[in-house]
Amino acid sequence: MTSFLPGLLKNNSVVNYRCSCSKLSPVYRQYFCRYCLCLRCWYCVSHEPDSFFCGNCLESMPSTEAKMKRNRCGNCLCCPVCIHTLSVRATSQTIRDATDPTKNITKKQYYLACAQCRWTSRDIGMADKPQSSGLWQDPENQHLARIEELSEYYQSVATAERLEKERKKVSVRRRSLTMYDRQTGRRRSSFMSSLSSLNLSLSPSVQPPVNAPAASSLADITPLPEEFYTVAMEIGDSTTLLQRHAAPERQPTSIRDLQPLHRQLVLRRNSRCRKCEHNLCKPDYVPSSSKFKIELLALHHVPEIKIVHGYNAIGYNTEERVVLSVTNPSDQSTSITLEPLSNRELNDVTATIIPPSLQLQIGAKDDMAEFDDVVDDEKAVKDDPDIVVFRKTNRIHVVTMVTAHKCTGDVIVALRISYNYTNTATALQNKGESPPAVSQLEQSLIINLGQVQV
Amino acid sequence: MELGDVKYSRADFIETASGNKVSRQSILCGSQNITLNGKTVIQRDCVIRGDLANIGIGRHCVINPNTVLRPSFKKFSKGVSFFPLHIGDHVFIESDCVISAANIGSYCYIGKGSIIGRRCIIKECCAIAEGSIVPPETVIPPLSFFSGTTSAPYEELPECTKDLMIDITKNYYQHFIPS
Repeated sequence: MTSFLPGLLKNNSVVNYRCSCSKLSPVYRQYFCRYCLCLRCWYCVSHEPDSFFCGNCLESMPSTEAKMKRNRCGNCLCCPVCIHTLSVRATSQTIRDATDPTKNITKKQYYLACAQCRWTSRDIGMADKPQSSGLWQDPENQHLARIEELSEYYQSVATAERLEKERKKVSVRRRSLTMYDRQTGRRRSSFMSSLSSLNLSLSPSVQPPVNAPAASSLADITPLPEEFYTVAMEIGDSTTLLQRHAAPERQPTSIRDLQPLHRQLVLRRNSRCRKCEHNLCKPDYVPSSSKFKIELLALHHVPEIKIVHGYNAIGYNTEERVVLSVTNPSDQSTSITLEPLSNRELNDVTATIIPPSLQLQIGAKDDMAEFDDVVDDEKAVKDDPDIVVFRKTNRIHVVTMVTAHKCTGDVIVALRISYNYTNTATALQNKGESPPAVSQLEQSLIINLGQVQV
Repeated sequence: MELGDVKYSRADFIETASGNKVSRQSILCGSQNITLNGKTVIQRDCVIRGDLANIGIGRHCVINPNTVLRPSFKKFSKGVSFFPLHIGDHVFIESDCVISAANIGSYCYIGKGSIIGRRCIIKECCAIAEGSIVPPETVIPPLSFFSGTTSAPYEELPECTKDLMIDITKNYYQHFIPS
């Protein structure tokens, strides 16, 4: 079986659906907004940060703590050479007891080791610790004081600018006539009422920003030491650019100066429809869970069309039989109609497809069907074998005829599928008083059937 | 794409009561320690070392030819102990893999020729690229795509990976029919 991963990850699928914004992407990469009743692709949703967690210890962290720790886990350390998570290894050391020289005590000492590149904390001269966690200290950042000074200065400048803007808004409001206080019904001056609502101090000028000392330029630059010209460089001793920039505050040039790094946190996203602002996808708070609190995925609401394996390569100007599979994702049965689309409606179409012209019924999704051996012949739909070659619960295989019109390149056809959609969102809102609304929806899609055979 | 039927000879595979299809050419050591939960397909030339520790494989799993499932061990001061290997439901393992992990969650895809290091924990809905080497003691969070040998921030898989994996593994089993 050829790997399906490239299509899954790179939006490089054979069957692509057209989103409401006219961009094409696979159905498993899209969302379905059941309030707007249309597909939303990756670019039609707004992605918001939902929760942070460490990918190694799977501990979640609130966003304020993540911001304070600069999106790094406090407990998990990474190898500075290969960025793989370090594991703590224990060794035992026998030393003479201080109180009784004849006895020996076995002490456990811990050190960090990388299972991928075999780097250890002993390589940089870090002493073994008596405890497995909590004692691995980060080296001091000599630039920290200067960075904090500058950051305080810029924060005070930003506060001063914001207060200045508020002041200008107040002076604009002064021009309006006296207004009534909504609560007491009395007239009051607009100026005083605006000031009291803003809680500004009545001092004439805003407090000046904290001045940070300016950076000083160097007049004398120390020349390069003689070793750079006379001693041959040891390439094995110098760090790569990636290793250097992984610790930007120190940027060590020698591998002996590398220190373990804290592991970067993983961010879970929350997707929201840009038009109606409803949440389309909200992950579970627990990091080790792959479930979702809200999951409005296109695959669960839109019929999925796939090509059935085993069709002949399509030749130029010859009609070939291609079987498509249509799957109904909902737990209500639906009826679908397939129509071909021309080049005027979708670009890059290089072949025509003739799907069956009649309306086709597809059963509801039934999870228990695979355990049910009894087949009810009376309820079974009788299909024309030239149109529907296979039917099982919520899936049918439909015969189409494809003719390529270009002698080079890929055979690309376009289809429109119309289907009945049962909207359970409105039923939930009315608390079950009204039956769910059934609407007729349409989706356009493009299918790539491979290279044309000359 | 929907796959076509894959036919096998009845003489080549053992079919158990719970629907597991195990190739007669695979090597299952310590079969009393190996648990297959149902409708799992194990292809030819697979080596499953149940003699070292318990191996539990979930429902609708597919293990392609030439894969080795070998539980990992940990050295203690008083000797060596083997970790049990648990594989979840709907896991698709391609051919030529070497798996020493401690735990593989449900709905995972392991690419061809990949090597999963000892005591790794792979959570649900993950995918491992072809030819990748997962270093020992790695934890891969859910919905991640691991490729190469890196443990740097992983790419994200789509949210419907669980449904896609259920579809792939169920279809594989349904199309794997005796000739």
